[in-house]
Amino acid sequence: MAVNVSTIQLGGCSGCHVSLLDVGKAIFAGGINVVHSYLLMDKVTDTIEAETDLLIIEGAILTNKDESLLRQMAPHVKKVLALGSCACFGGIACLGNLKSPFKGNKGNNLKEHGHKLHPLICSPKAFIDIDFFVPGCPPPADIIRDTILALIEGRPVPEIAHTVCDECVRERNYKAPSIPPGGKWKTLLEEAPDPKKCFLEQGYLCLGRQTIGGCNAGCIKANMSCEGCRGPIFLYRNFRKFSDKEKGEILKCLK
Amino acid sequence: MSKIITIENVARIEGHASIAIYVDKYGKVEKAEYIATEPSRGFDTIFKGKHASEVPGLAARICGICYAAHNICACKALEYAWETNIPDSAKKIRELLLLANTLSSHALHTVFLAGPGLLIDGVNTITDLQKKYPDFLEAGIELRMIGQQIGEIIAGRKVHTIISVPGGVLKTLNQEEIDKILTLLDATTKSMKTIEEYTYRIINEKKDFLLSYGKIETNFLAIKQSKKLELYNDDSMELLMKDETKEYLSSSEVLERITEEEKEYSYIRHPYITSMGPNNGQFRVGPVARIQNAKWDNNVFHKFKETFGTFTQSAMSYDISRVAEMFECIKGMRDIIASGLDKDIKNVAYPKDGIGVAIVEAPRGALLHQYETDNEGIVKKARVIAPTTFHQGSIERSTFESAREVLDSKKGDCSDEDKVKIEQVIRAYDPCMSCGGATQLRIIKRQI
Repeated sequence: MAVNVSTIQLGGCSGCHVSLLDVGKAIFAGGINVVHSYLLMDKVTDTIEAETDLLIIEGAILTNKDESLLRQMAPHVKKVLALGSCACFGGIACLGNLKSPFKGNKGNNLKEHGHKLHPLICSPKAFIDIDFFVPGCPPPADIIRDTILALIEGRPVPEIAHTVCDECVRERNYKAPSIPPGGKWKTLLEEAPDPKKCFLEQGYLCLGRQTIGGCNAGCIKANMSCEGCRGPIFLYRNFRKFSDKEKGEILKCLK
Repeated sequence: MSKIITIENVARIEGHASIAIYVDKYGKVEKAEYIATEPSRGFDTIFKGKHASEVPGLAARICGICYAAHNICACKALEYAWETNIPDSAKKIRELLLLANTLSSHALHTVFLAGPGLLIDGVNTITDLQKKYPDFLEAGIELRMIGQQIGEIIAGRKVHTIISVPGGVLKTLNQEEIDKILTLLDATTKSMKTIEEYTYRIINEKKDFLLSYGKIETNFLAIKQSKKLELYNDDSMELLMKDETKEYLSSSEVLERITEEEKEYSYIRHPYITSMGPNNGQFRVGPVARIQNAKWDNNVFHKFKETFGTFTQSAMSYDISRVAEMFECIKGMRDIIASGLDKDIKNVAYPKDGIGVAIVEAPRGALLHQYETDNEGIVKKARVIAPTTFHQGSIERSTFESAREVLDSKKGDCSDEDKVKIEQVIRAYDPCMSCGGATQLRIIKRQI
């Protein structure tokens, strides 16, 4: 049975779509029928007309249009997959919430201006029920493939319950400091770190201890400390919709 | 009665954009507007107040297709600000990353985005391409994968390869990795042959279309090219005027020369050369700007020169020039590896008060980053002008030309086929709206 898949991109960088293409042949070889995608077909309307079994969302809610689009799509889709950290947590786009031009942006004339900046940049989970989360910036192709294939075949989605630290092969004595020696972490502006030893023990900030694994510690193999792009491990088992209280707070901001 | 025809969500481009075409009561096209509907994610605001060591990693997140260029350009601008030199091998590794990134970006565009429109008439999806020209699609998937895999070998991940930091790079290549890259480069031969054959076919079948569709007259700006594809050295930027006179500028001179004009309907500003005014001063960047004065040596390059002449203003020639660049990318990577890499890849970068402007050739054209930092390395001011920003005015004018050609005889009607045809010229520029909108947040005043 062919599975109808739609992909949409909200406020993001297309990196997750690129990673989705990295899955390569597995995604085009039977089993998947792309019914809606900005990147892969001509003539896409705003609305999803065909019934969609799986909606893949990239990016965070950035404009009012993004919100209305999701609300409109929700009844037509059976399952929703949030692809990438922006869709799972808000990601890079949400950094904008912290900065002044965005702060207190009440979004004047919301009704007239469909593409106006959303008053609160946030994950799509505020407006649509999300069934599966694949975090990462972007998520590695292997994980996307395994997840989508599992969904098509009706198997449970593979779980990752370990951290990047568990996948890291660097030498360590398990005594990495929580507070940096001298009160300040070294930055990568300084000399290149020793490629064999634990970053934290060398005094560089590395988020591998807290971050969801599954990426095979690729950055660390390239001598780049973990920047935590897959999100904190404690969230992994608790991916969920916003609670009513949280929704209330979002609504308060929207007013 | 006059009428506005809108195309919402231009398909097969990266990010979101719409077109509004104004048609008068006789059905003649009066004006076209290219509307960036994707608001900025406010990167230059996000950078402000952050420590410079965080900036290159964040900068890569501006774009999921040309991440390497953003990452490297940010590093370079900071190095200029701090007067830091980098070792030769670090430069070579950065060039390798840029070339690998360009290869996969061009393969993505040629096969997935522009190719279907050039090979199949009318509305189509990727499935149509798969049915009619499976070898073309296969070759595209293969070449993209090779570009991405080379990135993964160098930087440990396929997308957002962020091993460049101010002062150099964090990892060099060992023999095993070099062998892997060489094997991958050898594996491109067959796919490149397929793409080359399809390119000749497109040129032969649609020569007149390629030459004239959406043609406009602009200036060009690119890094000065030599016998190889130059993406990294921005010592001399070549500004090629309409009358084929040339001028050489440094990257900070480029920034001094341009003004960004705000449009009330679009999130992205329209830059132009100040002294020449908004109409005359528009300039294009990207593969065609690079190819104009290049002295490369590959079959598609020669075919390009034979078809379009030594100096071309054609818009659709962008699609062909990308294929010529793909050959140069592969050759360039081989040359860099043959020239040898050593272990000296990183200098210490000492933050200081200063301003740095750098340009790197991203797959879509010249990408400019500017940073001002204080003594501690905290960013005080940041500015990003992406190739798609440079292209806004040109895309708009090309859209107008193509809309005139397609719609003038239609008396104000616009079918889906017509819309797809008009979109085709936009796609030739390979716009990447999330890059273009990386600059500072602004409010649009008018919405169609």
